Amino acid sequence: MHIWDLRAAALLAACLIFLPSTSFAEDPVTQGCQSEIDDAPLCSCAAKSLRQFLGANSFKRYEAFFAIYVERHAEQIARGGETLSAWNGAMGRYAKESGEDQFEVMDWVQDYQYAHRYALKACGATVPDSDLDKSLLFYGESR
Amino acid sequence: MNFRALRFAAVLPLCLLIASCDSASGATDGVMMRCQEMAVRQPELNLDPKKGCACVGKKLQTFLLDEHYSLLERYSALITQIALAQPNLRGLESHDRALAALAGERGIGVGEMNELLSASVPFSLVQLAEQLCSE
Repeated sequence: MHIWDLRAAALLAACLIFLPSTSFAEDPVTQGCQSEIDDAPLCSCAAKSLRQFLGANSFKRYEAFFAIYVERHAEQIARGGETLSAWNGAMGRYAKESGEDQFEVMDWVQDYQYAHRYALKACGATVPDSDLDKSLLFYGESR
Repeated sequence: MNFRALRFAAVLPLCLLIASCDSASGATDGVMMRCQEMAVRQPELNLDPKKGCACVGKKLQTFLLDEHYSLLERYSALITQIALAQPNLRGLESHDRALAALAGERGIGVGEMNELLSASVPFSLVQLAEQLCSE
């Protein structure tokens, strides 16, 4: 086999190994959304729209918060805990790790969460009244 | 091609580009007008009336559903007209008048219009867009 054929074969193999995992990898915002709403296309649509609205830097900040939330949420559920304590705990840990003031973190998380909620609705999410109190993304929604 | 034709050919795409950018930013729509008026009246917002407001308009236009954006656009145009015509009015009074005018246009009650507007265009989103686009 010629050296160029070998290189092409190696490149193709690398693509086959890495492409599926990267193209299907979910961002933490989509993952966190799916822990509440079991609808991957809906969560992905909302995250995409939110990313466009917030802009790259702010979305990155929300992603960093959500990465902590997803981790804590899994721990809480495994221990039989509540989603809300995972959410509050994530805000605290994010503030500690980033050095941001905790109240500022609470403020922007609430603002971005509000926008996230709009994006979910715009993407077609409907949440029954009975589930509003249970859903963090829809927490505080007026009936 | 002579030199003049070359110059014309170079300038034309630039003009087209500027024209398309201007219309994409929603330069003449109510949201932009309202934003510019607010940016001038409230310097603490740190919003550049041109760049900042174009950013706000673009964010809201791409994020909000079309029918929600149209409602916001009309409301913004009305409240700007009212505020410019009567600069001494307080913010809440201008809002009430714009709401009444919008309700009249749509043939519904003011209360119903208020509910429709706040349900379709969360004002915290508008504030967030302003915040994200501030300097």
